[in-house]
Amino acid sequence: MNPKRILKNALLIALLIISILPSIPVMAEEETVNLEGPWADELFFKIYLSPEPEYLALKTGEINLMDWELPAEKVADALTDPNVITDSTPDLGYYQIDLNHQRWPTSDLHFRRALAHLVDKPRIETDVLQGFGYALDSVVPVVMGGWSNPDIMTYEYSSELAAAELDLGGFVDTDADGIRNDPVTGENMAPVIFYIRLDDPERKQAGEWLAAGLKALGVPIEGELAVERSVCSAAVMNSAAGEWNVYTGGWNIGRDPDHLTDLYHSKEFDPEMVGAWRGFNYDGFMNSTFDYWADILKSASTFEDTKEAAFMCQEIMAEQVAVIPLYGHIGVKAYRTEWTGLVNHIGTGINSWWSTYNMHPVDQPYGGRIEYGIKSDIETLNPLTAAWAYTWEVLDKIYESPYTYNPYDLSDDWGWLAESWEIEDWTSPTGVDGIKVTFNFVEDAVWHDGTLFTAEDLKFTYEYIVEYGVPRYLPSVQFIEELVLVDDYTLEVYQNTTSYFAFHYINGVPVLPKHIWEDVGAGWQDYDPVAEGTLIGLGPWKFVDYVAGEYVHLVANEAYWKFPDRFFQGLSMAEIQQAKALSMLRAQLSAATTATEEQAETISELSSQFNDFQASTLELIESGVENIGNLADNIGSLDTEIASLNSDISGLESQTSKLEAGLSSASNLGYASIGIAIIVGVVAIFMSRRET
Amino acid sequence: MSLKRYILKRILYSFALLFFALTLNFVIFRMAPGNPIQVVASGMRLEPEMVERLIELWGLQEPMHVQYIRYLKSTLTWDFGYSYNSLEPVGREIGERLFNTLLLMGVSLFFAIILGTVFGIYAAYRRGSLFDLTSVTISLFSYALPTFWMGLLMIYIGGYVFGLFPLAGTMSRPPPLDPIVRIFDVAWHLFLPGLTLFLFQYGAWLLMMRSTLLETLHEDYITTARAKGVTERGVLFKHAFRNAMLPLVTNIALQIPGLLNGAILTETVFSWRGLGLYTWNAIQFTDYPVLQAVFYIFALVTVACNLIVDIVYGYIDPRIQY
Repeated sequence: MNPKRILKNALLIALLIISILPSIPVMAEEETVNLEGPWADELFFKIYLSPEPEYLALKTGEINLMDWELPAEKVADALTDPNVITDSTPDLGYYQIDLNHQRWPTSDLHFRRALAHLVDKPRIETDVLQGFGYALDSVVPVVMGGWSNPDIMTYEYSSELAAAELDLGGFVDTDADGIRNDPVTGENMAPVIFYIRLDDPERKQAGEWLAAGLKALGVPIEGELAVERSVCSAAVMNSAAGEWNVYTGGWNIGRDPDHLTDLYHSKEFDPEMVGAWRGFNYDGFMNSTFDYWADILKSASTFEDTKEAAFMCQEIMAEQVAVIPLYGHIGVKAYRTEWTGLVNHIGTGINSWWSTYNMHPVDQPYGGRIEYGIKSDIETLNPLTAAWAYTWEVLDKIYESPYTYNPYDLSDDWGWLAESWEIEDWTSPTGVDGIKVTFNFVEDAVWHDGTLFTAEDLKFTYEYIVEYGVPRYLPSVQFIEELVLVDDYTLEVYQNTTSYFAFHYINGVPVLPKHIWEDVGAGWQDYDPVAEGTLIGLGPWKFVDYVAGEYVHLVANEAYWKFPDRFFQGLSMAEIQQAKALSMLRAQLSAATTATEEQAETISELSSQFNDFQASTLELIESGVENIGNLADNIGSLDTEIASLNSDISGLESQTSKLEAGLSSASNLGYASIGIAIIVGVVAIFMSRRET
Repeated sequence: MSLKRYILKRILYSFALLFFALTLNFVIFRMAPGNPIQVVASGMRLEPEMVERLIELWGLQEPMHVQYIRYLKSTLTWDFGYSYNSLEPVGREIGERLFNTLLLMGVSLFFAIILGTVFGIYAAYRRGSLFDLTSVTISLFSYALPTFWMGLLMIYIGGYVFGLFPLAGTMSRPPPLDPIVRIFDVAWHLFLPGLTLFLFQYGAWLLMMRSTLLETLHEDYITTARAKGVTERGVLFKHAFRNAMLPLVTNIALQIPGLLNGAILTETVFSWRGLGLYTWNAIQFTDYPVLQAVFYIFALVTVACNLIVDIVYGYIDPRIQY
């Protein structure tokens, strides 16, 4: 590859990453979610049926938030717009090289490993995805957090290692004609059949590089020209004889890794199906050890056991090269700087449910109208027939599911309408092992028409879906065996499967108001809640108006059980705002009054203390003055006394000096007497000795 | 052959044509790759009993001839079944969009015909003049530009740079309550998409009118008329224009079905909720009931327009032999 091109691309990606990093909003960095909401007054969906006008509408301020992922050239523009903030998140999905395990030579492990060594993922990341995607080694992308196994076998990009694997498998050019020979027939290898999707430039490029790499190693290729999606699906997924070897596929997935079983279990492949859908495991990956763990994945009842099974499935898939995981996408979305509090939900982005629930204008703690641009029309607002993702952008604001989950950790379920639940093992009367889920619902949830919600509503919803066979929700209720209403706020759901995910399946329904839908009965498919005025849910937003192809208008549900400041429930939004303003004023006044009273008391106390102090001080001063007078008199008499004493002292001093003089002369006389006495004594002693 | 018999023959011929189009419409979608169950499941794994339920819902389990008879019956009674994508009745969805498409098409076609014809006549009359040269150049330019590109340019300049017109939609969101103001509001939203579609058609009309008229102006009867002393105005409108109208009438009838197709891109770019956009989405999501219904309507409009032209020709063209 051209070094200049590598350098250019590296610089572009670096610039993009550097540019995006500072734009990540504080909310996303802190990963915090406010469980109370909504904070805005209104939610207004504006429908743009193509991306260009929607993006221009964001730039002009006609909308505050858009659902559309920005392509590279728009990201660069958005980053230079001071009124627009961008944020990115990985998609919940992956792209892969599918390999036909039912057809030679991709049925050979060494050949598959050789292919895995020929996929240049770093180059795909830099040259193809250009910062809008990341390479994958597992079909459980890292965005799925704890479910993704980081320790699986990986295949370094190396044509030498690929050639070695081919040699190991017996695919050797024995006749030196530049084409490797088939180890079974000994003849030149038959061409490997590629199906590369034309409609996706990224997959097209990855597939073409792989084909070129293989061809360079002496493996003949056929059909490497890209083909259209429907041709691929007909040839790859419905092919009678499986006339393909390599296909550039891709899947959207949910928050659970149960797609490992759904897409790669051998029971999901039907080799007998001719010219029709051969099953989700159209690769024909048949591995009994994998099946064993895939079955556990779907039947284990604890998180730990399920995770172990998911990890084992990924290990086996990597070792056996069931498919070659390529990359996951990273989507960049944008919103206006005038808003804050948005939540960058993993797999969804900043236009998440939590964003509309949490966001508010930067300059005020609540209120305002969210103008949300969506890139598709709303096909229907009937929750039982709506299948289109953009329709659910609206409906999931109106309807609630039993519980929710952490937007920053998709495996972390959160209590919501069902504030808590217990999951226990259960065995059906027919002896089938399953789980019993006991939902404990909040007691203050109210339908938008004021009717109180009870557990009976959810029970009705499950029963309604089963009775009328509503296709969209049948997967959610497929394992429900029995429903027992314990009381108005407790429902037991008995499922005839032990799967850890079964708890998630039953959450996939919108809770319907029984008092409305029981009258609809079998006519659910033609039912139009908008025309009937019965678009009634439990959600944080209430339906106001819808004009097809133009807009949907919702308003904050002030009776929502998580609506901020319950004191204001039952009032209109305008009244709530007035009441809130009044309340704030009252609080300020009260605080000011209390402060004044406290200050007055203090002042009074201080004043009294001051008065006491002043009085005592005056007394002290008065007594002090009197004392001073007395003292002055005393000082005067004392002065006199001192003077007399001084004269006495001087008299005494003269007497003393006289006495001292007398004493001195007396002492001199004494000394002289003592001297004479000593001399007399000595003379006497001397004379006496002489006498003896 | 009398005129009445001629008309009857054309009507019978049109019915046969429509029947053929209906049959082709049925066969093509049954032969197309893809599986409607996959479309509805949209990536979800459905249990076999659910798949059976869906097959039953759409009658896919019945033999092909039974499906065909049911299809004919439902189509003729304007019951197109349910969309695979929205699961809504297709007839209702089409009805909701038809007015917008007719409005957009009607307005743009009306102005394109009027202005294209008038300027085409004048350009032919003043052949070789600066006006003729300018008109022909502009017409060729506007006719050659891709509709979607012209639409994006209109949005960028008219909507974003100058902010004179809305970026998308058929009305303000929310719309004004006063009905009179609302009419003006719709007209304001119609301006850019209408102008785009107008420019796309205007050039064709002008060029066609100009060339037809130029051809007519060289006919002998025009020379005769001039020799008789008829004024230039009289020559132009009473002799030349009346004869040049025949291809114009044909073109009007044939342009209407074509316009339905042309509206697809314009409606998509301007978020104009009409049949064109509906068709585009249905193609993307392999929504067979919708596509069948839309193609049926296209076929119906084409056959009806041809029939009308045939009948009108019977009246206005004396050369037609019954």
